[in-house]
Amino acid sequence: MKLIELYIINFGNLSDVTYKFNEDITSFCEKNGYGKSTLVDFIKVMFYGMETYTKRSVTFLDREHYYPFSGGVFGGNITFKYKNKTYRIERTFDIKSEVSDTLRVFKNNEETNELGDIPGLTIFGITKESFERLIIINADRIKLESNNDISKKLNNYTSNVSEDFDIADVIEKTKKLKKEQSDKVKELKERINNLKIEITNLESIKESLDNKYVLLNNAERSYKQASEELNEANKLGFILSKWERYDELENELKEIKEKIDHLKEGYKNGLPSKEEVKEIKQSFQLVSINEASITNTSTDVAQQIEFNNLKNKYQEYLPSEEDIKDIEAKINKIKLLKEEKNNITNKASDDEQERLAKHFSNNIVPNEEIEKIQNEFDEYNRLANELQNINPNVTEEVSIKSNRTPLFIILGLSIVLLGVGIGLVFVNLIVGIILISLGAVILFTSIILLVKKSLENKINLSSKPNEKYEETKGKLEKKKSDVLILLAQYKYLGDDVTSLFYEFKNDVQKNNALLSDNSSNESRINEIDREINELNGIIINFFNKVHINPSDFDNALDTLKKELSRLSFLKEMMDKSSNKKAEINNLINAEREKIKKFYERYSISKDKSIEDIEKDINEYERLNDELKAKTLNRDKYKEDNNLAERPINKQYDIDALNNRYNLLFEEYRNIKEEVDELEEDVSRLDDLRSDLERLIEERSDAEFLSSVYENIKKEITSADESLVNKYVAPIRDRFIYYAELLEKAIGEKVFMDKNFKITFDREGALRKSDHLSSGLLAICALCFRLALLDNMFEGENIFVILDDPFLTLDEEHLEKAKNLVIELSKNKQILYFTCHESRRI
Amino acid sequence: MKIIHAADIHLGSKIESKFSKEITIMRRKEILDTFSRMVTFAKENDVKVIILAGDVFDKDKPAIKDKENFYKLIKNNPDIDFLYLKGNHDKEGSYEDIDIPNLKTFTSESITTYSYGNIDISGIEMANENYKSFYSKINLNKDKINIFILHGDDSNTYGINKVKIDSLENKYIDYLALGHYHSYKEEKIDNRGRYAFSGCLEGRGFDECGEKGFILLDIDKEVKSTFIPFAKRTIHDVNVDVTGCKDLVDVKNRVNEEVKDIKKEDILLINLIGELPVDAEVDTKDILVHLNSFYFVVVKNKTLTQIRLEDYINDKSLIGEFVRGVYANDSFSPEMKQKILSTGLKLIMKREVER
Repeated sequence: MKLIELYIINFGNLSDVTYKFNEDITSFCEKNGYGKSTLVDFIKVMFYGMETYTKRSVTFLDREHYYPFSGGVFGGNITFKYKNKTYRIERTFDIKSEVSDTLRVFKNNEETNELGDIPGLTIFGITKESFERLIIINADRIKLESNNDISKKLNNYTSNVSEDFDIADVIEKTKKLKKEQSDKVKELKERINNLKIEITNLESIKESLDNKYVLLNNAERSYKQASEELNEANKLGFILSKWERYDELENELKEIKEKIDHLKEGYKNGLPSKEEVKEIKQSFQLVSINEASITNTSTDVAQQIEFNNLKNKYQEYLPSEEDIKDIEAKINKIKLLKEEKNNITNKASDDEQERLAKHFSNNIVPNEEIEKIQNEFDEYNRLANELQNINPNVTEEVSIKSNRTPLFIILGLSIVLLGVGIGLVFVNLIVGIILISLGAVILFTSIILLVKKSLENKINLSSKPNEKYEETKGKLEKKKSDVLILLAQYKYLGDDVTSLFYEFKNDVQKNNALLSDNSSNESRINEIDREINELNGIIINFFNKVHINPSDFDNALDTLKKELSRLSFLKEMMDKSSNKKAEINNLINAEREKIKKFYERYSISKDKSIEDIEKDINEYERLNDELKAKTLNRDKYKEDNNLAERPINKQYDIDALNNRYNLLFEEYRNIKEEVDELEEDVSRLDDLRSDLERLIEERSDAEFLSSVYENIKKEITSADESLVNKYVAPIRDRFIYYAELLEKAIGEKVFMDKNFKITFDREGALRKSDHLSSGLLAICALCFRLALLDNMFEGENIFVILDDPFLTLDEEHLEKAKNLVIELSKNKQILYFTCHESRRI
Repeated sequence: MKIIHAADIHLGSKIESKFSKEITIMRRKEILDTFSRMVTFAKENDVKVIILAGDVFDKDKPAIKDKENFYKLIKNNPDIDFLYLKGNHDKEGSYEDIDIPNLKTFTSESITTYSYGNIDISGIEMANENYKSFYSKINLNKDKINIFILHGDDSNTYGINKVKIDSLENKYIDYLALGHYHSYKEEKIDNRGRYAFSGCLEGRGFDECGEKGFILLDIDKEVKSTFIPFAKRTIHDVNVDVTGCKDLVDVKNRVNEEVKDIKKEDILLINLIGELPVDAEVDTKDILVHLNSFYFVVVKNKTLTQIRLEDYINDKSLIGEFVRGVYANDSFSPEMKQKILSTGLKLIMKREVER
């Protein structure tokens, strides 16, 4: 397999560049930063591609690293010869994901997919990481430590494992893990055994539970039986106590019956009814009341005497009602006559006649004159009324406007003062403040006064005399004067027209009547006197007949009336009293008869009062009620307590029964507790069985894992041996081949034993590689790597990239190494990179 | 009339061995609590009868406390009739010496029938003596609504725990309430009737995944049945194919995608399946920490390491020798080969390995 050329479109800092490779050695000598590593990585990604970038990627990945700074197509192609055919791999890469990457493979210019998705894996048979470790050789990777064993070396170069991978560590760890699992199995076995013993114990407990259940059932039956017996005894005691109470109730009834019988003994013909007793009691009361009323009905002595006196006084003459009415009419007639006489005599006094004569000079005033004065007076009244309805004044409205100009001047002045004050504040503070204060006071005052003036600006009213009023008033004055003149003719003087007029009018009537009646009064007085004397005689005579003093007719008449009324009342009372007594005596006799018959009918001793009988009846009733109630109570008690048949009184020892019950119950409870505890234990059986299942599963898992680790150990050891067997001999053979070249180039004879131990011949003796210089050791390591490579890629002579591998060699060894590389390149394509001219080949 | 059909409560049952001790204790309590909640549901929804089609208890001789709890619930709900037919797990000792008026039971000797108006509920316990013969003894009133109770799997053959469905055709069964199978299932018997498994009330392990609950029957002129999911928690068995994942982050994302619709109070078994690259370091403990918001999670790494022999045919390194050597060794099982290769390569590459 040989590289022919490569073309980079864009890859890191390399763009549009072609590299051609020689069949033997192609040497690149460029300064650091030129892109040597980029070129090496380009070859790698052409064969293996690039990993997708992910957020979890921890390393700085190729994709990100080599994405062209200036953008453009990211990729290129590589041409090589493989199995005698020319292949070209063309690849482009996306910045992030391999999904958008492109891969095209051409075989002899025809597209093919025979190299698969990862051509490197098909061609080299190794992973990308192994490719890096095997094919790319740098200064770091050609160190050969003498104590490394073959498998470790092989693995380090060929496996996708860490650099410090050591198969011995893996074997050791596997052993450790196996031991862990074996210990776990051992521990689990022990736990399982213990658990099985525990389960067996619990199972036997469970078996024994059957017997315990029998015991429990028996104990339960026993204590329940004892409980029943105790209940029965208690029940009997209870029932007997009920019968005792029943007997008590019976005795109470008996006592009541005895009392009733005793009571009945006093009433041989039976007990009267309550109504009868009530009736007889009433009879007793009636007798008593009537007897008392006879006593009360008798009139007293004083009344009797009074009646007799009055009766004697009016024995000769008892005036009738008509007589009394006639006398009374006569007395009243005298009073009327005396009044008439008095009226006539006192009609007009002498003074009055004299006063009237002064006004009218004993002449009758003619009616015409009276009418005339009357008319004038009426006119006067009309005028006076009219005047009253006329308003004496006529009213006018007058608007008065006040003069506010001075206030406005003061207002202006106050504003000026304020202005000046404010101005002066900046010159003279005190004067300024005084002027401002003064101006403010005046301003405030003038505003208040202006407001007040405005409010006072109201409408004034004025009035003037009414002409009609004045005119009527004149007429009235004149009429008054006229009337007063007319009255003055009859010597009625004054200013009060009205009172003077009515005085005149009254006097005219009196004067005219007096002057016309004076002649007939004297004859009437004489007639009245005669009539009064006649009537007096009749009346005195009447009162003398009834022996009453007639000095005052009214008193005498009143006395007569009272005495006659009293006489009539007393007479009526005397008559009534006598009738009543006879009636009451009849009643008393009837009631006594009833009482007598009652006592006889019931053969009751007369010594027993009606009250005692009543008491007996009440007691009898009460006892009967009590008897009924107590009988009902007894029957109800019997029914409520089901006292049908009196049980035979069995003798129980309640205490003994109680003790037996308690003992048996205690025994039951103890067994129950024991059963509960056993059940509690047995209830763990399921859990323990679950635990057993789990532990067995765990043990099985651990055994499986133990077996897994054992097998891993075996398989890894076997793989290691196989690897060694497969590669050691061929590698040693190839190393001998390279050792010969090495001897030619550097003059040292180097050997390798079956365990890859390197020795060298120095003065006829084999010496360990430890005695070689580091430079020589590095060259030996290179040979070892080449031997390894030759064996790894059987049939295909693979190219090798030497990435400045001789960085640490001294000048002498460097030249020898260069010679060796040239010698090697005869059979192997070598790409040699260095950054220094001194190391250029 | 409303009836609840429940079965396979398995009080006092063994709980999944993969659960922790705390979770096991809690799950036992939750099974009883869910049964109690179902009775409350019945009370609140005017349910007259609760059919318990077998395996109320997990063992022939249940613990006294389990019996006490169960029978106390029945006693405290006298308005509901509990029709309890024993299954294969609670054949003995479940209700001996128990005298509760609203607890109605069945025998294996003959078919027992309880009538509720026009509804007849019949049942028989299957035993060695009757598992073939009882079919011929079924004689139901065709004019009534007939509910029949049995405990066994639906089958085409006869067996002690098998219900031969075709032998129940034309027996006038409207609804066959079955127990034994732990998931809800409802199918046809004939033109008239159908059979149903209510499943268990709560899943007890990773072999009882999916929704669990009971069936509510609403019977008027016909039987209407509705499955009521009622479990406190659902158990999920989730396979997560992690093929294509490069690392733990990718695997976590893939797991997240698979569990996003699962409730936090549920129980999960996550099986990582598929292939992972040899250098992908995925530790199940990391996934567990990632899923710690769920009630309980078990993670199983069942992934295979991506190792293709053809990639190593030309590999001249130790790795190539190792891979080829393991592949060539016929004494290894495929599982062993996979494990040796994945672990061995990790060791060579100095990566963490399973311990």
